Amino acid sequence: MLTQSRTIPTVFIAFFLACLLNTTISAQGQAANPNSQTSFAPTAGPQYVGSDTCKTCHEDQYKQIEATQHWNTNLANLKKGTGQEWHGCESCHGPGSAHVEGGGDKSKIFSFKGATAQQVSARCQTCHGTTHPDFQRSVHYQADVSCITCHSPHQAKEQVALLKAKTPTLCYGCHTDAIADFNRPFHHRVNEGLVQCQDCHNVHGSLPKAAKISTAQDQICLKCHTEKRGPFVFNHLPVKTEGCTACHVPHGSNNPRLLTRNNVNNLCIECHGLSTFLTLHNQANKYQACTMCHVAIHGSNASDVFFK
Amino acid sequence: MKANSNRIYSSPPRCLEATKKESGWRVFRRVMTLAVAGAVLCLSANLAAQQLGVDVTSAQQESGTDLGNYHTNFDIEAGYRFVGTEGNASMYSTWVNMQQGPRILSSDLSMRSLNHDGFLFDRLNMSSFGYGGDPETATRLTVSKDKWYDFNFTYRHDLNYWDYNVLANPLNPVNPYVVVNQSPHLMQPSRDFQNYDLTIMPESRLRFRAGYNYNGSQGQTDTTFHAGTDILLVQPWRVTGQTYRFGADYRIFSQTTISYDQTFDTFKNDTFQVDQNQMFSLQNGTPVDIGLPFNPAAGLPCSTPFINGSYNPKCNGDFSYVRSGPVRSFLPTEQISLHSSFLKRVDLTARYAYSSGYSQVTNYLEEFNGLESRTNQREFAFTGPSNTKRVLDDGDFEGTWHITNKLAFSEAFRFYNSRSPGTLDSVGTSCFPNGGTSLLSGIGVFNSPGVSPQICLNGSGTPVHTGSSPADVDYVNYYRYLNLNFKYNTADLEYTLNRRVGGHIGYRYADKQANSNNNLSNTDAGTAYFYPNDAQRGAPCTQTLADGTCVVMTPVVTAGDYYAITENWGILGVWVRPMDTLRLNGDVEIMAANGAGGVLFTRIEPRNLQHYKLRGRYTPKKWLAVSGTLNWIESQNTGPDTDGTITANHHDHNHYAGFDISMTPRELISFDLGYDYNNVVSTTDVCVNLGTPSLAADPCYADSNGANTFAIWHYQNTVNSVYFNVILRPTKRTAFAAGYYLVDSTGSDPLFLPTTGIVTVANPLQPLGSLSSLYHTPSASLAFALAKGWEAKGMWNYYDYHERGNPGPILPRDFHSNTGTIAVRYAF
Repeated sequence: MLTQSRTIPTVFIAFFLACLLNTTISAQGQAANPNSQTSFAPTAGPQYVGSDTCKTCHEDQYKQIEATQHWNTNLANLKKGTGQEWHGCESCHGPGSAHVEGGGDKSKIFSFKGATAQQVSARCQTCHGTTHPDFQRSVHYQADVSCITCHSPHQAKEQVALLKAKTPTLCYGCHTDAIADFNRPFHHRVNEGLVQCQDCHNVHGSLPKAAKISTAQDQICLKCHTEKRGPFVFNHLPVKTEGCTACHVPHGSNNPRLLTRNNVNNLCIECHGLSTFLTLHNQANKYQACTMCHVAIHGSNASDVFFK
Repeated sequence: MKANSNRIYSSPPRCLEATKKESGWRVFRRVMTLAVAGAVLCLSANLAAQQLGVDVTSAQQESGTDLGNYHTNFDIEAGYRFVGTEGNASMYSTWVNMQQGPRILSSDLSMRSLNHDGFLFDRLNMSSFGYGGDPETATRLTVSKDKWYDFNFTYRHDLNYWDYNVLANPLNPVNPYVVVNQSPHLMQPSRDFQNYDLTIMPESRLRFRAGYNYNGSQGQTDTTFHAGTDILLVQPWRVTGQTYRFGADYRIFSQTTISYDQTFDTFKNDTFQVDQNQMFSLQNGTPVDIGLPFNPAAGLPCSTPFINGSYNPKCNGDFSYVRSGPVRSFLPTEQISLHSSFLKRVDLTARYAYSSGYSQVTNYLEEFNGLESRTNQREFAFTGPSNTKRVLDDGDFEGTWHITNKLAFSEAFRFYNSRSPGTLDSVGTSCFPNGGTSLLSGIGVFNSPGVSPQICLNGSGTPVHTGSSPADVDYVNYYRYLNLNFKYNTADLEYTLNRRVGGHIGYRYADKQANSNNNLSNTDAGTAYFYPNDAQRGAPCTQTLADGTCVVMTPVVTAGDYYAITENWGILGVWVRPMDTLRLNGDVEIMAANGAGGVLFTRIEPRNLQHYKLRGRYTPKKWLAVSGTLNWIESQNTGPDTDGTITANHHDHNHYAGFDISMTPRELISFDLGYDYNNVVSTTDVCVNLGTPSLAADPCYADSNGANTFAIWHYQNTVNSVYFNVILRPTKRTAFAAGYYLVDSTGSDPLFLPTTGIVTVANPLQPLGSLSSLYHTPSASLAFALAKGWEAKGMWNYYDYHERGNPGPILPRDFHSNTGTIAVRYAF
């Protein structure tokens, strides 16, 4: 079995290298990706005018940008060997000469307002593509949620990451179901500020979708709940095959321990209530809680029935 | 520093004139003084989520001040919290746990270099909250210097009190009345999380990353152990996980980056368990733990626990119990990844991770001294090392082909393959009484020359066994293996009709295979020694030693379970923006699963699933936003079970609907209102032991000799949540906020017995607890500006929890609490 499973990484690495080779070859003779920076390179059309020209009319916006890291694009030595398309306001809005010559004609320059997520993310990814390479494969992107839905380069409320609001307030704007979840009696301490949405979720996209994985490639829950990670000699199989959410509701619940059912026995018997399961204990007057004996239900190194 | 001059228009670089460096020692000294002061304040203070109610002036509105080359904003809030609680204090601590005392409620510091070229850093943002005794404490720091480094630090401290007395409670009958008011699985550890992340040269072609995580948890917890009865154990909790991370990204050419990451995850668990609950005594005065369940009618701890006021020595009991087994785990992981959007119309991302590690317990020891009446064990010990390896391959590849500007096709493949062989080489030894079944009996000796170890040497006489007694000495070599081989493939076609409408349609295929020999029907390699001339409890002797000791050797049988499950998913998503102010998103996922032999991993794993999501956000005005969500999940499993005569016939739904309205029509008022509805219903056919024999016509009768009864388990939970928040700023110097949150939960979990038509519950002593409850939390806060930068603040929170119906044979969990906080805020 070990040998057989090795074929997967071998094939994968081969494919990986093939992609790399293909990319290298293609780089020599093809035009750039529409998502790459050169798609905004100067053409025969509008020319770059420089941020100081923009400031003439857009002083407020300039001041806002000046207080952020984006202003650093004005520094000439930021990207050695790159052109003016990397600099200042026009690094995001594109060349502005036509806009200036048109007396501020909004149709002559790229405006983020009203642009699709596809267009917005293409602009932002020019610089941030390395940091968030999977955004265009994210659930947010597919739902036409763009970078500026959450981030505001000009009017950020939060200096860190230029967010429009603090998390979780920002996330609650769309995910109203999470508001209810995190106000349930039993909940992860998100509203209290201890846990943040991005601790578990990769909002910029990943595989698997939505939830992160830990550094050891486990479910993200095990990043904090390390004692349940194992590996164990004796495994409770659904913990591994279906994950934590087979029994727990991660955001919040009216049931203790964020369980999907109000008492442990209901939860256990749904799976273990087989007609041949003779050892199923009397539910009426003793052994009221399965986990009273089966305390190591997530996995054990000493008991095949999870007693210790 | 020079701004770009390669432009066709030019204008004076006014922005640069204002950012001259104020270089030299003076600047350095001021910066360092401020940084140190900020650090001290923030490490002893708190902000963010714990900020007290409303502010007259938000931190962002403060103009800040220029200190040296840094524009600085600072904010600190300190005060005193008063708490008054009535009712179940444990529940208050489990859910709220705000205690009385002085607090530095929050603090924020942000600094940015005026000329974008600071000496040590260009930007620094730090926020913290909860210092001084709040249950949640955190500090988050980000520091960066443009192209040189980015540094992120997080410290979090959590007082994790947990005592919900329904869980794991034996729910002893009222008469005789021995009540267990505290959860036997109480937890009150504190947890510390630290996270350090450093990126060096973040904007360069080659950048380096390093990081460290610390996750430590320690404190008092309780647990239980089954030894005839269920004894309460004190469990000093001490768990530590650490992660070291190193990595590098290399931009091999434009828009193409290859990354390598190396992580080392370590884990140690030094938690141990000891019985300190010897609350009763025998007739001779010896303290004994009689266990938590007390139901003589059901034989717990026995039918006649007390004789003449002393504990009956023939009952289950425990003089001492201790268990320790330090765990050490090490999981190094290597990951290589590639991201490229260099090709004209193709984006590629690929990742492969390999992890090979282990978990070991080298010094496992468990010792019991008492009486387990069923097996007649007076003492037992269990030891043996365990070792589990884990080898894991995990990777994914995703490519997106932008066929046109409107049409794209993406293909994503992910695989996860883990192999986890584990062994436990255990030695179990048992000592049996040299007389009758009694806590007062001594133990007999077993010193057969052919058996090692010789046990019970501090005893005398002959051990007495029963038909249920385990072997005197039992060597068992457990071999376990778990292989998970999961593959997922998703093909998706995305289309953007115009800026108003778009969507995607796709197909996902999942192939999930599991090989497990973790089932209880396995036979592990073992050698058991039974005392000479005593019953070998049914097993034929493989060998009989010279002194008559019976040896039973069992060969290992590794046949295990094999699952092969396939899932077929249809995926559809549509987004619509009929106008700039309205956004609607709809998603549908439909899944059908099947397994080898028709069997899935569990009886309730969905065989068919439908998931519908609808989200909308309408912002007709800048000051008005209406959001709504509909989340509808239906799942069924009506296929065959792994064994037995009944099927699960499982039906489950989770319906959610809610909306939120936020209004800020003027600066002096803002309003937030929301409502959420959630309904969960689940029905499952089960065979359950209800303590009375089932009828011959019962589908569960034949397989269980009448022990189990066929039942349809119905779980239902409806939660209605309502909330509002209002903020008023009647004058420039005052602000007022009020809020209210209500969680109204109703539910039930009855059993319907089709054979007899009876509707019942499994255990009438089991309360519904929080399933049927009302929890509401109003709050109000007031802020008054005393002078520029200074505010006086006050906040009141009320927590009221009430359970409907029978609280069970234990302390009710209802509570209500008033929390008042006064504070002073200073900001610049």
